[in-house]
Amino acid sequence: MFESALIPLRFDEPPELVQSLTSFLRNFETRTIVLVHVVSSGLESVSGAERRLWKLSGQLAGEGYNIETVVRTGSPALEICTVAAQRELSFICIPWRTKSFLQRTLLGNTTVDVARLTDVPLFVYKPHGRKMETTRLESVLYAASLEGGHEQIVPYLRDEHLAATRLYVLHVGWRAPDPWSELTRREEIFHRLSAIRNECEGSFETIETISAVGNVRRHILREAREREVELIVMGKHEHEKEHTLDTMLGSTAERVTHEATVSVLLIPSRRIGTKQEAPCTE
Amino acid sequence: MHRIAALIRQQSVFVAALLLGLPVVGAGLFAPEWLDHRSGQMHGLIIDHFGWGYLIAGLIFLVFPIILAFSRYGNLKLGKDHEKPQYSYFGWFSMLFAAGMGIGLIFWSVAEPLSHFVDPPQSLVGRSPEAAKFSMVHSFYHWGMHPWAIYITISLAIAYFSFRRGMPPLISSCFYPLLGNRIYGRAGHAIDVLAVFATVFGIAASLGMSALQISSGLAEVSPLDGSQGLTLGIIGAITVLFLLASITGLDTGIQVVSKINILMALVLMAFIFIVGPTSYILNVFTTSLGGYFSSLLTMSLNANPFEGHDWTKNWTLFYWAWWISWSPFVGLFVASISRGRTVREFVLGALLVPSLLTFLWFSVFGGAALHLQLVEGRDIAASAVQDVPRALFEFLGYYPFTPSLTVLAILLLVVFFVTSAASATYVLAMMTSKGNLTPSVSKKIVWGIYQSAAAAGLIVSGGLVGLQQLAIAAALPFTLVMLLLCVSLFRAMKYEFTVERGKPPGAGMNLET
Repeated sequence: MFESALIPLRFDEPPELVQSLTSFLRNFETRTIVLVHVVSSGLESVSGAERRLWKLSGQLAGEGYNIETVVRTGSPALEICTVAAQRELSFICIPWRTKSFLQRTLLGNTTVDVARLTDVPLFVYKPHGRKMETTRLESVLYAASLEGGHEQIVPYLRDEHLAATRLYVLHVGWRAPDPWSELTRREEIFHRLSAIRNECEGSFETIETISAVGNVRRHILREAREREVELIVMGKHEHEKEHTLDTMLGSTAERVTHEATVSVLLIPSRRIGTKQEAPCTE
Repeated sequence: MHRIAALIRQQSVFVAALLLGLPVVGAGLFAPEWLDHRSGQMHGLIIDHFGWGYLIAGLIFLVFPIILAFSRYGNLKLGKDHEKPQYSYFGWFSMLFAAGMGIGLIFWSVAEPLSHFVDPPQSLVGRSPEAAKFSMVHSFYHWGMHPWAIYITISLAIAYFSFRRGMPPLISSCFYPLLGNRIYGRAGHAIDVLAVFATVFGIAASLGMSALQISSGLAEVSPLDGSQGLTLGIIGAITVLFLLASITGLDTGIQVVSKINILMALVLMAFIFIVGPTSYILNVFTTSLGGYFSSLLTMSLNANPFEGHDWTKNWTLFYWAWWISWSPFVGLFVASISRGRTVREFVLGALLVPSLLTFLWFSVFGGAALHLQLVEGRDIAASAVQDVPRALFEFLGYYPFTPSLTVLAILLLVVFFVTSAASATYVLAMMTSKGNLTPSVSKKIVWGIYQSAAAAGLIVSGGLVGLQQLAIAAALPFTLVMLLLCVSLFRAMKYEFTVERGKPPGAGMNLET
């Protein structure tokens, strides 16, 4: 599930961040890494980018990875998704760099754009001082939607490469309109979360289910912070009809990807069982 | 001792509302100047700083139910799916109209257009044809769809949560999706006590004002002098009548009185329409309706910051706060008579029919008064503005059968008064009985006497205006409550559609979008 990764680079990433990421990928037993750089301004030449990528690939090859390099021109997020889909890579892996509000507003955020566009799983690496690269993950939070799609995510949770000590399965929803419907809703959610727990049994030492009421994004971030998890796993479901407000504000998945202080693994629900297509034609 | 404590706990909203209201009424009785000064300050502060908020909220309350009515939620029934409406259309409209604004219409139908005509915002010249057009369009605006939309918003929520979701008909019940079980605790009680407060103060102030108008009407047609004693006597007599109507309940007392009411109002309106300047009235109606709809959005958000802001504060913002302060009572009452109707039927029925009737009413009385002023050269505007309670009776003085018309108008006032007060008493008793749709007679009597005693005492002390201003001040927190109510109702309806109609409980939670 994690054999091949696409790592987009802008060349302004701190070397220790890239180093930390490639070390971490050993936990996933990733074998192939495709380094991608997208030339998006006239100030940069393709040949110059190729040289810099080639130099980096030499360093990473020494760590035991098969390295390929790709330089594209155009919109970074779109090109990253296109390369990942065309090469049928297992996932996209982005080392997170915090941007100020002004930078984000004026220049946008490629990671969040990739989260919106991708049909390939996206791993956003946010080490935040934790030595994730050398140790087994301690705790993972799975933000479960019960709308469907968890059957595509559970295999990732059960994958030995993602194994952690603790798993929290969180569901956040809106309260039902009256106490009796609320009781039914809670019972139903308890059963569904228990089913997910049973499916994940054996892959984790402890599994805890949490059901909360209220704002989905806020609860995911709060639970992740309070339980000190190291990774948030969540699905990205392509609704037939997107809500206008989500389109304007960004979906929950996009916003959690942006606001979480820990790494996020985003799994699009189309991923399994369907042939991947490029999000756009070149 | 334990039993008393348990009783108080069980009746917490009733006891809290009753006890907390006493100091306010006491201040009105024993220190009316102080109450007037303080409430005036509070009222001024709110209108000065949050007036724009009332305008925006008013527009939201107008748009929200219309969107619901035309969305997929429009087919939802305010009751179980098999339920049928309890009252006929005529009975329903009669009660809607009588509880919602009947008495105010009688009070203002002549006085308001004439006031705007004489004293429009600075941008217009008083007593000009433009001022006449402005006066009619703005009377439509103040009494048209916005107030009904405010009532509809709250009653829609109460009816949905009570009759469809099986919760007690209380305003706090509508907050279950947001507050959960906290609606049974302090948060829920605070909402209900605030609603009781706004109702008690609003009704007491309104009762006092109406008693003054009836008193001045009686002075026109009888040797009675319109003294304070007469006004207090009127309150006493009417208290007995509305208590009887309230005790007999919705099905008999209030419904019958409302139907009598609406028939009498139609007779009076038809008489003025036929005997008065019919074509002129129809022209006024058509022109004002066109002006109203074409400038609805502009008026809805017009705070007049550059010119005429004081006019907006004194009229539009006053009305918006007033409608909102009345909305808990009217909302609960309208909800209780609307069981079994669909959301679409309820919204369109309660929005369009009463508004249309209001437009007709204003066109007939306001139009005929403007005809007297502009065409016949009778200057009734100045005296109408000076003595608002007498304006209608002075207007009727220019028509044949004046004494009969005046008696009919007084009767109409009395019956509207009785209907409003009876409905309010019923609602207050219901709100303080944990939403029991058949509250005890003793509670109705307590609230009926409480309101009347407050109104009577305030007439004697002169603290009526202070109490009215306080009711309006209560509208500010209630506006926030109502905005949250819209969120809560929308969330509940969305839940019903996305979750209960086939999808799993996690549906509609936007986790994986």
